[in-house]
Amino acid sequence: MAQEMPIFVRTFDLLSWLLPMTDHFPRSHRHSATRRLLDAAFDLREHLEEANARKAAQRLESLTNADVALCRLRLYLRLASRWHWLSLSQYEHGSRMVSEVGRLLGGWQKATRA
Amino acid sequence: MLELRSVNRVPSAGGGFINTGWCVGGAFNNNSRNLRAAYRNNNHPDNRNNNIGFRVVVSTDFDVRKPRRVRLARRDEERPNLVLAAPLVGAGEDQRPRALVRLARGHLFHRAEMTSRLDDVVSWENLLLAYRMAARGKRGRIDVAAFDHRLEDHLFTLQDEILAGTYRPGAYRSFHIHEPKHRLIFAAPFRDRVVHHALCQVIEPGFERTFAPWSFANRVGKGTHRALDRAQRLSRRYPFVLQCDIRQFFPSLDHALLLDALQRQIADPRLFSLVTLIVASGEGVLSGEYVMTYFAGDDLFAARPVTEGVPFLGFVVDPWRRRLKGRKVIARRRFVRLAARWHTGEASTEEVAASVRGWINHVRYGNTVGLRKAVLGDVRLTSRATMAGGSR
Repeated sequence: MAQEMPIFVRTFDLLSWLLPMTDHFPRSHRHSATRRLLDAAFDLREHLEEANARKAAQRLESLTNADVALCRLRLYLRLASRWHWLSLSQYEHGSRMVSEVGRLLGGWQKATRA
Repeated sequence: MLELRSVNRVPSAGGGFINTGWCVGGAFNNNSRNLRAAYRNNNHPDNRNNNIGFRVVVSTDFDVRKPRRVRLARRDEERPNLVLAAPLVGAGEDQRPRALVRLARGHLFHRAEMTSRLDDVVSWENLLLAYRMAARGKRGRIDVAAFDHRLEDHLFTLQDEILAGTYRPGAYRSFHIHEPKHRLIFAAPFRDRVVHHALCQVIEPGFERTFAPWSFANRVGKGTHRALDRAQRLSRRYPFVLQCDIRQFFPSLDHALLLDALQRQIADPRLFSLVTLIVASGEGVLSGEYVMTYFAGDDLFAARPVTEGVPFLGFVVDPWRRRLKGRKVIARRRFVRLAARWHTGEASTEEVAASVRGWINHVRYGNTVGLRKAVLGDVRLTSRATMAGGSR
């Protein structure tokens, strides 16, 4: 249990970095792309909390949902960079955090399956 | 026959003489009769010597303009052969062997040190750019798409591995191509290609400055068509041509000497160890495919008058004219088949137009008006809607 805790710290950091970033995203896409980006990020954290509260098969299901949310987050981050909503270094920073969360999540999934 | 024209004989410290200075042609080890490659001394074809080499004749009219920066260098162009060459003139006893690398060192590698660093290679920006260059035009391929799917993670992994020194290039994949001629090609795995691009982005500008201006292969702002122009200009100045090609250049290169030359250019030791890894990963490539070819005719390697026409990069160049090498039949067959596929509706009009345009844009670098008429003149697209350009 205890070794799963870092993922919550990382996702918290990710969220607290991400939200202010979207302030500068174009208004015209606030209700489409930006919204989905943030939804994906919030879903990720919520599914992780769910997983923490559950056991065995249900936990695995929540973790899978978190994984899906993480993939969505990756996609919207990359698109944001492609549209130059994020600078290259912001993209790097965000991707690094996402990558780290992905690693931790993969580890948790593996530990749950075992 | 090429003759030794002048040699500066300088007394050496250990007694005797050392030959220095530029010479046009000549032999350093044998008399001039032995210079002809056709002169085989009754040796077995497998016989090898380390005292044979050649050096590109340096002419004074080379282009000193800086190569233009183009966004993306073409790396898959046909490798132009060396145009005008003369046998190597040794500068002294000690430098006779390794003539090939001496050529490379003397002409390519002896300039000032560069300041490129490994950190520049693995910077996020550089890796992203390298990915885009490596993936250009190939994003539909499975391995490229797989890399793309988790792009960020893959780039971070590469970054970590390279910085930690744990990066290892994968095995090369080999396949055959049949156009323009049958060749065995070795391709690195995609993730290694990304590393290659990342590396080249950083070290290429420094090397580019030191390359001989008459070298045209795989360079920004160079390429086959400019090589042709240059060959033709040279053919107007020189009466004879000796065509040479370094067979199996990379496998036959002494890697220790190559790395030694590279080390002088690459100051960052971590960057140099990455280069070492990549060079080593190429070792063994082609070695299994080493096919011995015997020289068929006696005069194959003799210097010939340029007026006979020099086969070069798919064209036959003579001083005042360039014609396409005998590929007419192949091209014609291709277009006749394409037209047939167009009639059945298999090939789209755009496809035909692109193919015809591509071929024309290549052959128009030669004197090929008649050839174009002969090849395309009676290839007609008639039963469907007519299109511009397709039937020309």
